Amino acid sequence: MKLFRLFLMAIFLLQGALTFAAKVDSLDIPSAAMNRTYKAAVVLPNSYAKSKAAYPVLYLLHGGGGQFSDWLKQTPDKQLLHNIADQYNLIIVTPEGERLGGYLDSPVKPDNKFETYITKEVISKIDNTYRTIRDRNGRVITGLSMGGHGALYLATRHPDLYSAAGSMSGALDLDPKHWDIAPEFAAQIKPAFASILGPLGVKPDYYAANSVVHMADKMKENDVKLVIDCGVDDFLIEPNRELHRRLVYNGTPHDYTERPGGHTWDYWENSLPYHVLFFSKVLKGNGAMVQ
Amino acid sequence: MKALQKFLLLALFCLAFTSTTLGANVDTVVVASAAMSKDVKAAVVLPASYKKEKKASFPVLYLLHGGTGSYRDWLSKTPDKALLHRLADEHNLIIVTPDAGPTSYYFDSPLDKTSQYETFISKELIDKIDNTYRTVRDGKGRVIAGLSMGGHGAFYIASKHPGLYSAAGSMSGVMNINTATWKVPAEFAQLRAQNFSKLLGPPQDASNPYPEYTAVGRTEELKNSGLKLIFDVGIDDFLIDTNRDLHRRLLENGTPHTYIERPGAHTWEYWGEALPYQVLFLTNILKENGTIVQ
Repeated sequence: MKLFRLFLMAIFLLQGALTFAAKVDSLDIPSAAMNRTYKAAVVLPNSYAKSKAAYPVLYLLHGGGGQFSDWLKQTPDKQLLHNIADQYNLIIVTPEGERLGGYLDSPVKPDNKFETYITKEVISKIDNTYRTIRDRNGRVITGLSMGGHGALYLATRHPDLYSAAGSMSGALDLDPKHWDIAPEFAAQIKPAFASILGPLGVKPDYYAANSVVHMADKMKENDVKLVIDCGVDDFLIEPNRELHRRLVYNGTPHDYTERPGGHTWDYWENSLPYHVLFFSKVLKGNGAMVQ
Repeated sequence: MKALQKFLLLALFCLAFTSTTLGANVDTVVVASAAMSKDVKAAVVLPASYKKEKKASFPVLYLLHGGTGSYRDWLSKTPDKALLHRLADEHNLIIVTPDAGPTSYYFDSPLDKTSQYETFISKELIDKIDNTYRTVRDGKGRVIAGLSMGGHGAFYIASKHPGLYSAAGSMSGVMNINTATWKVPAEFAQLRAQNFSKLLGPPQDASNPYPEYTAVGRTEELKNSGLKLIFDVGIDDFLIDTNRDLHRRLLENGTPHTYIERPGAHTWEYWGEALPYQVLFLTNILKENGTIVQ
Protein backbone atom coordinates (compact mmCIF):
# COMPACT_ATOMS: atom_id res chain seq x y z
CA MET A 1 0.00 0.00 0.00
CA LYS A 2 2.84 2.31 0.87
CA LEU A 3 4.31 1.55 -2.50
CA PHE A 4 1.13 2.60 -4.20
CA ARG A 5 1.06 5.87 -2.35
CA LEU A 6 4.57 6.56 -3.58
CA PHE A 7 3.47 5.57 -7.02
CA LEU A 8 0.55 7.98 -6.91
CA MET A 9 2.85 10.69 -5.65
CA ALA A 10 5.20 10.05 -8.55
CA ILE A 11 2.38 10.43 -11.05
CA PHE A 12 1.24 13.58 -9.26
CA LEU A 13 4.73 15.06 -9.42
CA LEU A 14 5.10 14.11 -13.06
CA GLN A 15 1.87 15.91 -13.90
CA GLY A 16 2.96 18.87 -11.81
CA ALA A 17 6.21 19.16 -13.68
CA LEU A 18 4.30 19.55 -16.90
CA THR A 19 2.49 22.60 -15.61
CA PHE A 20 5.26 24.47 -13.73
CA ALA A 21 6.61 27.48 -15.57
CA ALA A 22 10.12 28.87 -15.69
CA LYS A 23 11.46 30.44 -12.51
CA VAL A 24 13.44 33.65 -12.21
CA ASP A 25 16.31 34.10 -9.75
CA SER A 26 17.72 37.48 -8.90
CA LEU A 27 21.43 37.01 -8.37
CA ASP A 28 24.13 39.29 -6.97
CA ILE A 29 27.23 39.05 -9.14
CA PRO A 30 30.16 40.90 -7.61
CA SER A 31 32.82 42.49 -9.76
CA ALA A 32 36.35 42.43 -8.35
CA ALA A 33 37.49 44.41 -11.39
CA MET A 34 35.12 47.28 -10.61
CA ASN A 35 34.87 46.74 -6.88
CA ARG A 36 31.07 46.76 -7.05
CA THR A 37 28.23 44.27 -7.04
CA TYR A 38 25.55 44.19 -9.70
CA LYS A 39 22.34 42.24 -9.97
CA ALA A 40 21.47 39.83 -12.77
CA ALA A 41 18.27 37.95 -13.51
CA VAL A 42 18.51 34.23 -14.25
CA VAL A 43 15.58 32.52 -15.95
CA LEU A 44 15.61 28.77 -15.27
CA PRO A 45 13.42 26.56 -17.45
CA ASN A 46 10.83 24.44 -15.64
CA SER A 47 12.74 21.29 -16.57
CA TYR A 48 15.82 22.45 -14.65
CA ALA A 49 14.69 21.49 -11.16
CA LYS A 50 13.82 17.90 -12.00
CA SER A 51 16.79 17.33 -14.30
CA LYS A 52 20.41 16.47 -13.62
CA ALA A 53 21.57 17.67 -17.01
CA ALA A 54 23.96 20.54 -17.65
CA TYR A 55 22.13 23.36 -19.43
CA PRO A 56 23.15 25.73 -22.20
CA VAL A 57 23.07 29.44 -21.32
CA LEU A 58 21.90 32.43 -23.32
CA TYR A 59 23.43 35.72 -22.16
CA LEU A 60 20.99 38.47 -23.07
CA LEU A 61 22.20 42.08 -22.91
CA HIS A 62 20.17 45.25 -22.40
CA GLY A 63 20.44 48.53 -24.27
CA GLY A 64 22.20 51.84 -23.62
CA GLY A 65 19.53 53.48 -21.53
CA GLY A 66 18.61 50.32 -19.69
CA GLN A 67 19.46 47.87 -16.95
CA PHE A 68 19.59 44.13 -16.27
CA SER A 69 15.86 43.75 -15.59
CA ASP A 70 14.75 45.29 -18.92
CA TRP A 71 14.27 42.03 -20.79
CA LEU A 72 11.88 40.87 -18.05
CA LYS A 73 10.03 44.13 -17.55
CA GLN A 74 9.93 46.05 -20.81
CA THR A 75 8.70 43.48 -23.33
CA PRO A 76 4.97 43.75 -24.06
CA ASP A 77 4.63 40.04 -23.19
CA LYS A 78 6.02 39.73 -19.65
CA GLN A 79 6.29 35.94 -20.02
CA LEU A 80 8.47 36.10 -23.14
CA LEU A 81 11.69 34.92 -21.49
CA HIS A 82 9.89 32.33 -19.36
CA ASN A 83 8.26 30.82 -22.44
CA ILE A 84 11.48 30.78 -24.44
CA ALA A 85 13.43 29.20 -21.57
CA ASP A 86 10.78 26.48 -21.27
CA GLN A 87 10.42 25.88 -24.99
CA TYR A 88 14.13 25.34 -25.57
CA ASN A 89 15.33 24.16 -22.12
CA LEU A 90 17.63 27.12 -21.96
CA ILE A 91 18.95 29.15 -19.04
CA ILE A 92 18.68 32.86 -19.84
CA VAL A 93 20.91 35.32 -17.96
CA THR A 94 20.36 39.07 -18.17
CA PRO A 95 23.43 40.73 -16.63
CA GLU A 96 23.96 44.39 -15.80
CA GLY A 97 25.85 46.58 -18.27
CA GLU A 98 24.96 50.00 -16.84
CA ARG A 99 23.68 53.02 -18.73
CA LEU A 100 26.06 53.53 -21.65
CA GLY A 101 28.64 51.24 -20.06
CA GLY A 102 29.36 49.99 -23.57
CA TYR A 103 30.17 46.40 -22.48
CA LEU A 104 33.85 47.31 -22.75
CA ASP A 105 36.87 47.92 -20.57
CA SER A 106 37.17 51.64 -21.00
CA PRO A 107 40.59 52.95 -22.04
CA VAL A 108 39.82 56.27 -20.30
CA LYS A 109 37.62 55.32 -17.34
CA PRO A 110 39.35 52.75 -15.11
CA ASP A 111 36.24 51.72 -13.18
CA ASN A 112 34.28 50.84 -16.36
CA LYS A 113 35.28 47.21 -16.95
CA PHE A 114 32.21 45.55 -18.38
CA GLU A 115 34.12 43.39 -20.84
CA THR A 116 35.95 41.76 -17.93
CA TYR A 117 32.75 41.65 -15.92
CA ILE A 118 30.57 39.90 -18.55
CA THR A 119 33.23 37.56 -19.97
CA LYS A 120 34.91 36.51 -16.72
CA GLU A 121 33.05 37.44 -13.57
CA VAL A 122 29.49 36.82 -14.76
CA ILE A 123 30.34 33.56 -16.53
CA SER A 124 32.23 32.11 -13.59
CA LYS A 125 29.47 33.08 -11.14
CA ILE A 126 26.80 31.50 -13.36
CA ASP A 127 28.85 28.36 -14.01
CA ASN A 128 29.53 27.97 -10.29
CA THR A 129 25.92 28.58 -9.24
CA TYR A 130 24.01 26.52 -11.80
CA ARG A 131 24.35 23.26 -13.72
CA THR A 132 25.63 24.76 -16.97
CA ILE A 133 27.64 23.56 -19.92
CA ARG A 134 30.93 25.14 -18.92
CA ASP A 135 32.34 25.88 -22.35
CA ARG A 136 31.59 27.70 -25.60
CA ASN A 137 29.52 24.78 -26.94
CA GLY A 138 26.79 25.64 -24.48
CA ARG A 139 27.13 29.43 -24.44
CA VAL A 140 25.50 31.99 -26.74
CA ILE A 141 25.06 35.75 -26.42
CA THR A 142 22.83 38.42 -27.91
CA GLY A 143 21.36 41.77 -27.03
CA LEU A 144 19.60 44.88 -28.22
CA SER A 145 21.08 48.23 -29.32
CA MET A 146 24.18 48.81 -27.14
CA GLY A 147 23.72 45.19 -26.07
CA GLY A 148 23.67 44.04 -29.70
CA HIS A 149 27.00 45.75 -30.20
CA GLY A 150 28.13 44.33 -26.87
CA ALA A 151 27.22 40.76 -27.78
CA LEU A 152 29.08 40.88 -31.10
CA TYR A 153 31.98 42.77 -29.51
CA LEU A 154 32.47 40.31 -26.66
CA ALA A 155 32.02 37.19 -28.79
CA THR A 156 34.32 38.52 -31.51
CA ARG A 157 37.03 39.31 -28.97
CA HIS A 158 36.43 36.08 -27.02
CA PRO A 159 35.56 33.41 -29.58
CA ASP A 160 36.76 30.80 -27.09
CA LEU A 161 33.82 31.66 -24.82
CA TYR A 162 30.74 31.71 -27.11
CA SER A 163 29.72 29.57 -30.06
CA ALA A 164 27.14 32.02 -31.40
CA ALA A 165 26.36 35.72 -31.09
CA GLY A 166 23.51 37.96 -32.17
CA SER A 167 22.58 41.59 -32.45
CA MET A 168 19.14 43.20 -32.53
CA SER A 169 19.11 46.84 -33.65
CA GLY A 170 22.76 46.96 -32.69
CA ALA A 171 24.79 50.16 -32.36
CA LEU A 172 27.40 48.48 -34.53
CA ASP A 173 29.32 51.70 -35.12
CA LEU A 174 30.00 53.58 -31.89
CA ASP A 175 30.65 56.84 -33.72
CA PRO A 176 27.24 58.57 -33.67
CA LYS A 177 27.97 60.47 -36.86
CA HIS A 178 26.89 57.25 -38.63
CA TRP A 179 23.55 57.23 -36.82
CA ASP A 180 20.43 58.82 -38.26
CA ILE A 181 19.57 60.95 -35.21
CA ALA A 182 18.60 64.53 -34.45
CA PRO A 183 21.49 66.87 -33.51
CA GLU A 184 19.98 67.40 -30.02
CA PHE A 185 20.07 63.65 -29.30
CA ALA A 186 23.62 63.45 -30.62
CA ALA A 187 24.64 66.31 -28.34
CA GLN A 188 22.92 64.64 -25.41
CA ILE A 189 24.77 61.32 -25.67
CA LYS A 190 28.14 62.80 -26.61
CA PRO A 191 29.39 63.35 -23.01
CA ALA A 192 28.37 59.82 -21.95
CA PHE A 193 30.32 58.31 -24.84
CA ALA A 194 33.24 60.64 -24.17
CA SER A 195 33.38 59.39 -20.60
CA ILE A 196 34.11 55.81 -21.75
CA LEU A 197 35.82 56.40 -25.14
CA GLY A 198 37.35 59.85 -24.79
CA PRO A 199 36.56 62.84 -26.99
CA LEU A 200 35.66 62.29 -30.66
CA GLY A 201 38.16 63.19 -33.37
CA VAL A 202 41.43 62.60 -31.51
CA LYS A 203 44.11 59.92 -31.87
CA PRO A 204 43.99 57.10 -31.01
CA ASP A 205 40.40 56.76 -32.22
CA TYR A 206 38.87 54.55 -29.53
CA TYR A 207 35.47 54.76 -31.25
CA ALA A 208 36.74 53.03 -34.39
CA ALA A 209 38.99 50.66 -32.45
CA ASN A 210 36.04 49.35 -30.43
CA SER A 211 33.28 49.29 -33.07
CA VAL A 212 32.30 45.87 -34.39
CA VAL A 213 31.62 47.34 -37.84
CA HIS A 214 35.43 47.39 -38.13
CA MET A 215 35.87 43.81 -36.93
CA ALA A 216 34.66 41.92 -40.01
CA ASP A 217 38.06 40.32 -40.56
CA LYS A 218 38.29 39.11 -36.97
CA MET A 219 34.77 37.68 -37.35
CA LYS A 220 35.91 35.81 -40.42
CA GLU A 221 38.83 34.21 -38.53
CA ASN A 222 36.54 33.15 -35.69
CA ASP A 223 34.07 30.32 -35.79
CA VAL A 224 31.30 32.16 -33.95
CA LYS A 225 27.91 31.79 -35.68
CA LEU A 226 26.35 35.22 -36.26
CA VAL A 227 22.77 36.48 -36.44
CA ILE A 228 22.12 40.18 -37.02
CA ASP A 229 18.89 42.09 -37.57
CA CYS A 230 17.59 45.62 -37.65
CA GLY A 231 14.32 47.45 -38.31
CA VAL A 232 14.22 49.45 -41.52
CA ASP A 233 12.96 52.51 -39.61
CA ASP A 234 15.73 52.24 -37.01
CA PHE A 235 18.24 55.09 -36.72
CA LEU A 236 20.93 52.38 -36.62
CA ILE A 237 20.01 50.69 -39.92
CA GLU A 238 23.00 52.03 -41.85
CA PRO A 239 25.75 50.64 -39.57
CA ASN A 240 23.92 47.28 -39.72
CA ARG A 241 23.84 47.37 -43.52
CA GLU A 242 27.51 48.31 -43.51
CA LEU A 243 28.56 45.33 -41.39
CA HIS A 244 26.37 43.02 -43.53
CA ARG A 245 28.05 44.35 -46.69
CA ARG A 246 31.51 43.82 -45.20
CA LEU A 247 30.71 40.28 -44.03
CA VAL A 248 29.26 39.38 -47.44
CA TYR A 249 32.32 40.89 -49.11
CA ASN A 250 34.89 39.04 -46.98
CA GLY A 251 32.87 35.82 -47.02
CA THR A 252 31.90 35.47 -43.35
CA PRO A 253 28.80 33.28 -42.91
CA HIS A 254 26.03 35.16 -41.08
CA ASP A 255 22.25 35.56 -41.02
CA TYR A 256 21.08 39.10 -41.73
CA THR A 257 17.48 40.27 -41.47
CA GLU A 258 15.75 43.57 -42.15
CA ARG A 259 12.15 43.86 -41.10
CA PRO A 260 9.53 46.52 -40.38
CA GLY A 261 9.98 48.52 -37.21
CA GLY A 262 12.09 50.98 -35.30
CA HIS A 263 14.06 51.06 -32.06
CA THR A 264 11.24 49.69 -29.90
CA TRP A 265 10.32 46.89 -27.50
CA ASP A 266 7.70 45.64 -29.96
CA TYR A 267 10.56 45.09 -32.37
CA TRP A 268 12.77 43.30 -29.84
CA GLU A 269 9.99 41.10 -28.53
CA ASN A 270 9.34 39.97 -32.09
CA SER A 271 13.03 39.57 -32.87
CA LEU A 272 14.20 37.52 -29.88
CA PRO A 273 12.42 34.26 -30.82
CA TYR A 274 14.21 34.29 -34.21
CA HIS A 275 17.57 34.68 -32.47
CA VAL A 276 16.75 31.83 -30.13
CA LEU A 277 15.65 29.63 -33.05
CA PHE A 278 19.03 30.37 -34.64
CA PHE A 279 20.88 29.62 -31.38
CA SER A 280 18.93 26.41 -30.81
CA LYS A 281 20.21 25.09 -34.14
CA VAL A 282 23.80 25.97 -33.22
CA LEU A 283 23.45 24.41 -29.76
CA LYS A 284 21.85 21.31 -31.26
CA GLY A 285 24.77 21.05 -33.68
CA ASN A 286 27.09 21.30 -30.65
CA GLY A 287 25.18 18.52 -28.89
CA ALA A 288 24.41 21.02 -26.13
CA MET A 289 20.60 20.96 -26.08
CA VAL A 290 18.82 19.30 -23.17
CA GLN A 291 16.30 16.83 -24.65
CA MET B 1 -5.82 -3.99 -4.85
CA LYS B 2 -5.42 -5.74 -8.18
CA ALA B 3 -7.93 -3.40 -9.76
CA LEU B 4 -6.05 -0.37 -8.51
CA GLN B 5 -2.84 -1.79 -9.90
CA LYS B 6 -4.45 -2.34 -13.28
CA PHE B 7 -5.97 1.10 -13.26
CA LEU B 8 -2.66 2.76 -12.48
CA LEU B 9 -0.86 0.82 -15.16
CA LEU B 10 -3.51 1.76 -17.66
CA ALA B 11 -3.32 5.41 -16.59
CA LEU B 12 0.45 5.44 -16.99
CA PHE B 13 0.19 3.73 -20.33
CA CYS B 14 -2.33 6.31 -21.59
CA LEU B 15 -0.17 9.17 -20.36
CA ALA B 16 2.89 7.81 -22.13
CA PHE B 17 0.94 7.03 -25.27
CA THR B 18 -0.71 10.41 -25.71
CA SER B 19 2.37 12.44 -24.91
CA THR B 20 4.97 10.61 -26.95
CA THR B 21 3.73 8.32 -29.68
CA LEU B 22 1.17 10.38 -31.55
CA GLY B 23 2.92 12.20 -34.36
CA ALA B 24 1.68 14.09 -37.40
CA ASN B 25 -0.11 12.10 -40.12
CA VAL B 26 0.31 12.49 -43.85
CA ASP B 27 -2.60 12.05 -46.29
CA THR B 28 -2.46 12.21 -50.05
CA VAL B 29 -5.50 13.84 -51.65
CA VAL B 30 -6.43 13.87 -55.30
CA VAL B 31 -8.03 17.06 -56.57
CA ALA B 32 -10.13 16.87 -59.72
CA SER B 33 -9.20 20.07 -61.53
CA ALA B 34 -12.06 21.23 -63.74
CA ALA B 35 -9.90 24.04 -65.11
CA MET B 36 -7.31 21.62 -66.42
CA SER B 37 -9.50 18.51 -66.85
CA LYS B 38 -7.03 16.39 -64.90
CA ASP B 39 -6.40 15.01 -61.43
CA VAL B 40 -3.72 16.75 -59.36
CA LYS B 41 -2.23 15.42 -56.13
CA ALA B 42 -1.37 17.11 -52.88
CA ALA B 43 0.10 15.82 -49.63
CA VAL B 44 -1.59 16.96 -46.41
CA VAL B 45 0.31 16.91 -43.13
CA LEU B 46 -2.11 16.82 -40.19
CA PRO B 47 -0.73 17.70 -36.75
CA ALA B 48 -1.08 15.11 -33.98
CA SER B 49 -3.56 17.43 -32.27
CA TYR B 50 -5.95 17.26 -35.23
CA LYS B 51 -7.45 13.96 -34.11
CA LYS B 52 -7.65 14.95 -30.45
CA GLU B 53 -9.17 18.40 -30.92
CA LYS B 54 -12.27 17.13 -32.67
CA LYS B 55 -14.09 20.44 -32.70
CA ALA B 56 -11.25 22.81 -33.52
CA SER B 57 -10.72 24.36 -36.94
CA PHE B 58 -7.06 24.38 -37.98
CA PRO B 59 -5.13 27.00 -39.95
CA VAL B 60 -3.47 25.85 -43.17
CA LEU B 61 -0.05 26.53 -44.66
CA TYR B 62 0.08 25.95 -48.40
CA LEU B 63 3.68 25.08 -49.17
CA LEU B 64 4.72 25.13 -52.83
CA HIS B 65 7.51 23.20 -54.55
CA GLY B 66 10.08 24.53 -57.00
CA GLY B 67 10.83 24.07 -60.70
CA THR B 68 11.17 20.45 -61.91
CA GLY B 69 9.69 19.42 -58.55
CA SER B 70 6.54 17.71 -57.32
CA TYR B 71 4.12 17.60 -54.39
CA ARG B 72 6.36 15.03 -52.65
CA ASP B 73 9.44 17.27 -52.55
CA TRP B 74 8.90 18.94 -49.19
CA LEU B 75 8.32 15.54 -47.57
CA SER B 76 11.12 13.63 -49.23
CA LYS B 77 14.00 15.99 -50.00
CA THR B 78 14.68 17.95 -46.80
CA PRO B 79 17.69 16.61 -44.85
CA ASP B 80 15.36 16.05 -41.87
CA LYS B 81 12.59 13.89 -43.33
CA ALA B 82 10.34 14.64 -40.35
CA LEU B 83 10.68 18.43 -40.69
CA LEU B 84 7.09 19.06 -41.83
CA HIS B 85 5.73 16.61 -39.24
CA ARG B 86 7.59 18.42 -36.48
CA LEU B 87 6.52 21.89 -37.63
CA ALA B 88 2.89 20.76 -38.01
CA ASP B 89 2.94 19.31 -34.47
CA GLU B 90 4.80 22.22 -32.90
CA HIS B 91 2.40 24.84 -34.28
CA ASN B 92 -0.84 22.83 -34.64
CA LEU B 93 -0.80 23.61 -38.31
CA ILE B 94 -2.10 21.72 -41.34
CA ILE B 95 0.54 21.81 -44.09
CA VAL B 96 -0.58 21.17 -47.67
CA THR B 97 1.99 20.56 -50.42
CA PRO B 98 0.24 20.60 -53.80
CA ASP B 99 1.60 19.55 -57.16
CA ALA B 100 2.05 22.20 -59.83
CA GLY B 101 3.96 20.39 -62.54
CA PRO B 102 7.65 20.92 -63.33
CA THR B 103 7.58 24.35 -65.02
CA SER B 104 4.07 25.86 -64.68
CA TYR B 105 5.24 28.86 -62.63
CA TYR B 106 1.81 28.79 -60.98
CA PHE B 107 0.26 30.80 -63.86
CA ASP B 108 -3.05 30.43 -65.61
CA SER B 109 -1.50 30.17 -69.04
CA PRO B 110 -3.51 32.01 -71.72
CA LEU B 111 -1.97 29.57 -74.23
CA ASP B 112 -1.86 26.18 -72.52
CA LYS B 113 -5.17 24.83 -71.17
CA THR B 114 -3.35 22.12 -69.20
CA SER B 115 -1.43 24.73 -67.20
CA GLN B 116 -3.98 26.61 -65.04
CA TYR B 117 -2.25 26.44 -61.70
CA GLU B 118 -3.29 29.84 -60.36
CA THR B 119 -6.91 28.70 -60.51
CA PHE B 120 -5.94 25.28 -59.18
CA ILE B 121 -4.06 26.62 -56.13
CA SER B 122 -6.34 29.56 -55.33
CA LYS B 123 -9.74 27.89 -55.91
CA GLU B 124 -9.83 24.15 -56.60
CA LEU B 125 -7.26 23.11 -54.02
CA ILE B 126 -8.65 25.39 -51.29
CA ASP B 127 -12.19 24.06 -51.91
CA LYS B 128 -10.96 20.50 -51.68
CA ILE B 129 -8.98 21.07 -48.49
CA ASP B 130 -11.71 23.13 -46.80
CA ASN B 131 -14.31 20.49 -47.66
CA THR B 132 -12.16 17.54 -46.56
CA TYR B 133 -10.64 18.83 -43.33
CA ARG B 134 -11.64 20.98 -40.36
CA THR B 135 -9.95 24.19 -41.49
CA VAL B 136 -10.30 27.89 -40.77
CA ARG B 137 -12.22 28.69 -43.95
CA ASP B 138 -10.95 32.20 -44.62
CA GLY B 139 -7.80 34.24 -45.14
CA LYS B 140 -7.25 34.66 -41.40
CA GLY B 141 -6.33 31.00 -41.19
CA ARG B 142 -4.52 30.65 -44.50
CA VAL B 143 -0.88 31.34 -45.36
CA ILE B 144 1.18 30.41 -48.41
CA ALA B 145 4.89 29.93 -48.97
CA GLY B 146 7.26 28.13 -51.29
CA LEU B 147 10.76 27.70 -52.60
CA SER B 148 12.25 28.98 -55.88
CA MET B 149 9.45 28.77 -58.49
CA GLY B 150 7.16 28.20 -55.48
CA GLY B 151 8.38 31.36 -53.73
CA HIS B 152 7.44 33.25 -56.86
CA GLY B 153 4.15 31.32 -56.92
CA ALA B 154 3.29 32.24 -53.32
CA PHE B 155 3.87 35.98 -53.92
CA TYR B 156 2.18 35.92 -57.34
CA ILE B 157 -0.98 34.09 -56.30
CA ALA B 158 -1.33 35.84 -52.93
CA SER B 159 -0.95 39.29 -54.52
CA LYS B 160 -3.56 38.42 -57.16
CA HIS B 161 -6.09 37.32 -54.53
CA PRO B 162 -6.06 39.85 -51.68
CA GLY B 163 -7.78 38.47 -48.60
CA LEU B 164 -7.46 34.82 -49.61
CA TYR B 165 -4.24 34.46 -47.58
CA SER B 166 -3.03 36.63 -44.71
CA ALA B 167 0.68 36.11 -45.34
CA ALA B 168 3.06 34.96 -48.05
CA GLY B 169 6.60 33.62 -47.81
CA SER B 170 9.33 32.97 -50.33
CA MET B 171 12.54 30.98 -49.93
CA SER B 172 15.14 31.45 -52.68
CA GLY B 173 12.30 32.76 -54.82
CA VAL B 174 12.36 33.58 -58.51
CA MET B 175 11.39 37.16 -57.75
CA ASN B 176 12.04 38.24 -61.33
CA ILE B 177 11.08 35.89 -64.19
CA ASN B 178 13.32 37.81 -66.58
CA THR B 179 15.97 35.09 -66.91
CA ALA B 180 18.61 37.71 -67.76
CA THR B 181 18.62 38.61 -64.03
CA TRP B 182 19.58 35.06 -62.98
CA LYS B 183 23.21 34.09 -62.52
CA VAL B 184 22.94 30.98 -64.68
CA PRO B 185 24.54 29.64 -67.87
CA ALA B 186 23.11 31.23 -71.03
CA GLU B 187 21.62 27.94 -72.29
CA PHE B 188 19.59 27.45 -69.11
CA ALA B 189 18.36 31.07 -69.21
CA GLN B 190 17.37 30.52 -72.84
CA LEU B 191 15.53 27.29 -72.02
CA ARG B 192 13.52 28.93 -69.25
CA ALA B 193 12.83 32.01 -71.39
CA GLN B 194 11.37 29.69 -74.04
CA ASN B 195 9.21 28.10 -71.35
CA PHE B 196 7.82 31.55 -70.42
CA SER B 197 7.06 32.27 -74.09
CA LYS B 198 5.23 28.96 -74.32
CA LEU B 199 3.16 29.80 -71.21
CA LEU B 200 2.67 33.55 -71.61
CA GLY B 201 3.36 34.45 -75.22
CA PRO B 202 6.16 36.58 -76.65
CA PRO B 203 7.92 38.93 -74.17
CA GLN B 204 6.55 42.50 -73.96
CA ASP B 205 10.06 43.90 -73.97
CA ALA B 206 13.52 42.52 -73.35
CA SER B 207 14.22 43.98 -69.90
CA ASN B 208 10.71 43.54 -68.55
CA PRO B 209 9.18 40.62 -70.43
CA TYR B 210 6.01 39.98 -68.37
CA PRO B 211 5.73 42.69 -65.70
CA GLU B 212 2.32 41.68 -64.30
CA TYR B 213 3.42 38.05 -63.94
CA THR B 214 6.41 38.59 -61.65
CA ALA B 215 6.98 39.80 -58.07
CA VAL B 216 9.26 42.74 -59.01
CA GLY B 217 6.50 43.95 -61.35
CA ARG B 218 3.78 43.57 -58.72
CA THR B 219 5.14 45.78 -55.95
CA GLU B 220 2.08 48.06 -55.93
CA GLU B 221 -0.22 45.02 -55.75
CA LEU B 222 1.92 43.58 -52.94
CA LYS B 223 1.70 46.91 -51.12
CA ASN B 224 -2.07 47.20 -51.51
CA SER B 225 -2.77 43.55 -50.70
CA GLY B 226 -2.24 44.00 -46.95
CA LEU B 227 -0.32 40.70 -46.99
CA LYS B 228 2.36 40.09 -44.40
CA LEU B 229 5.48 39.26 -46.39
CA ILE B 230 8.68 37.37 -45.68
CA PHE B 231 11.34 36.38 -48.18
CA ASP B 232 14.82 35.01 -47.84
CA VAL B 233 17.71 33.90 -50.01
CA GLY B 234 21.16 32.39 -49.65
CA ILE B 235 24.03 34.70 -50.56
CA ASP B 236 25.43 32.07 -52.97
CA ASP B 237 22.08 31.59 -54.70
CA PHE B 238 21.86 32.36 -58.44
CA LEU B 239 18.63 34.26 -57.67
CA ILE B 240 20.10 36.63 -55.08
CA ASP B 241 19.92 39.68 -57.33
CA THR B 242 16.20 39.17 -57.97
CA ASN B 243 15.62 39.08 -54.22
CA ARG B 244 17.78 42.12 -53.49
CA ASP B 245 15.95 43.96 -56.24
CA LEU B 246 12.54 43.15 -54.74
CA HIS B 247 13.77 44.18 -51.26
CA ARG B 248 14.93 47.53 -52.68
CA ARG B 249 11.66 48.12 -54.52
CA LEU B 250 9.52 47.28 -51.48
CA LEU B 251 11.61 49.62 -49.30
CA GLU B 252 11.15 52.32 -51.93
CA ASN B 253 7.38 52.00 -52.14
CA GLY B 254 6.99 51.51 -48.39
CA THR B 255 5.70 47.92 -48.27
CA PRO B 256 6.33 46.33 -44.86
CA HIS B 257 8.24 43.08 -45.29
CA THR B 258 10.85 40.87 -43.67
CA TYR B 259 13.93 40.15 -45.77
CA ILE B 260 16.68 37.71 -44.84
CA GLU B 261 20.04 36.88 -46.36
CA ARG B 262 21.93 33.94 -44.93
CA PRO B 263 24.68 31.49 -45.89
CA GLY B 264 23.83 28.97 -48.57
CA ALA B 265 22.68 28.40 -52.11
CA HIS B 266 19.80 26.84 -54.05
CA THR B 267 19.82 23.57 -52.07
CA TRP B 268 17.65 21.44 -49.82
CA GLU B 269 20.07 22.06 -46.94
CA TYR B 270 19.19 25.73 -47.31
CA TRP B 271 15.41 25.13 -47.46
CA GLY B 272 15.57 22.78 -44.47
CA GLU B 273 17.21 25.64 -42.55
CA ALA B 274 14.91 28.35 -43.87
CA LEU B 275 11.50 26.76 -43.35
CA PRO B 276 11.37 26.90 -39.51
CA TYR B 277 12.00 30.68 -39.63
CA GLN B 278 9.27 31.10 -42.24
CA VAL B 279 6.86 29.05 -40.13
CA LEU B 280 7.71 31.11 -37.03
CA PHE B 281 6.86 34.26 -39.00
CA LEU B 282 3.68 32.82 -40.53
CA THR B 283 2.35 31.37 -37.27
CA ASN B 284 2.94 34.72 -35.54
CA ILE B 285 0.48 36.17 -38.08
CA LEU B 286 -1.99 33.35 -37.44
CA LYS B 287 -1.63 34.01 -33.70
CA GLU B 288 -2.42 37.69 -34.23
CA ASN B 289 -5.44 36.58 -36.28
CA GLY B 290 -6.56 34.35 -33.41
CA THR B 291 -6.62 31.26 -35.63
CA ILE B 292 -3.91 29.15 -33.96
CA VAL B 293 -5.27 26.15 -32.07
CA GLN B 294 -3.99 26.40 -28.48
